[in-house]
Amino acid sequence: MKVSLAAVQGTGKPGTRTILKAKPLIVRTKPFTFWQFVLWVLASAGAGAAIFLMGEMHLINFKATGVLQPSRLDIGVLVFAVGALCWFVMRSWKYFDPYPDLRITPGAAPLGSSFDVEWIFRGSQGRVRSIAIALVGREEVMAEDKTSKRPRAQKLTAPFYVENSETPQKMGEGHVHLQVPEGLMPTFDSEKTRIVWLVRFENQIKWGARMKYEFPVQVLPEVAHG
Amino acid sequence: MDSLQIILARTSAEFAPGNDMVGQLTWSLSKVPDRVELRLFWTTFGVGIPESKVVQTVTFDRLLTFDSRAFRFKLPTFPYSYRGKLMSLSWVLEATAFPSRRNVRKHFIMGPEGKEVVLPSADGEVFNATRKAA
Repeated sequence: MKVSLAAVQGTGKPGTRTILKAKPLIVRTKPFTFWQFVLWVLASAGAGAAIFLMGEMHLINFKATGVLQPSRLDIGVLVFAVGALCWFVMRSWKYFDPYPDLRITPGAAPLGSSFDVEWIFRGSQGRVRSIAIALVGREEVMAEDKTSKRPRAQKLTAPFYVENSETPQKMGEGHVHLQVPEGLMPTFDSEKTRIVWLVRFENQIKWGARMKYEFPVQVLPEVAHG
Repeated sequence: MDSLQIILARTSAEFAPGNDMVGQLTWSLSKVPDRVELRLFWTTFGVGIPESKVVQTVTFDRLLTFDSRAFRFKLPTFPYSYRGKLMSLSWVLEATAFPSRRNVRKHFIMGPEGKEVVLPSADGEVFNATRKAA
């Protein structure tokens, strides 16, 4: 599963002089609220109740007549209710997955400096099996898809820099430094051509899917010395 | 024969961000032009859809068929000239005479210490993000 999250705060334009004052990026990755969880629990209960009532109704009929004859509508409703129940239960279960909160400092950093990435998992930290953090620089361009009959734009990406951080000892919470290299392109954002920098955070949890988050960060031109 | 020429004050076509670009624009045309425009812009080229952005424009008027005008541009600090796997970015100075639209271009590099940024190739192939999203 891959999740791209925009940073909570804007990161300014290249060449900004107030780079050291750039506020940290704070990102919360939990994709839903407690009230959504309550809604799913209620929906699960509703689907379960529908299955139970249908089952009870047919069981009474079966005891009375000795024949089990569900209509096509009953079967359709039952299949739908079972599917809905499974889906709602899975969604409710995901509420208890551990999700990382991140703080990336500073919010914008020049080439040759570094980002400090702090994280803490909310929820059951014991279920976190592995994490991997990397600084990634990549080109993103819009190109014409010449293979299709109708010409349409497609987005192509190609990484030019991937630097994985050392594997942290503590997974539930911790911090790493990500060095921004010198001599490359800072963040560049035009209509069809972009140079993007992002912090990639991957984690594997017990009884859960592999999660991959990408947090765009602003890399500024190198600070002139002397 | 009509001709337009951009002559830079320095022989090198490599500039650092924020440098001054000084030169002379000369032309010899069969008819008196209404105006001659000198545009400073960046342009991209490669596998993607090309795009350009004009940064500064200077217009010369009250001209002769054979004439010469000095110019000076203060280069911006960004974006740098770069060469990537998908796209490259180049800076261009273009002079156009109107109404004939005869023009001439001069490509130059603008980057840290006057050098073009060459993006390395990291692990990972070119990826079609549109198809993945669909």
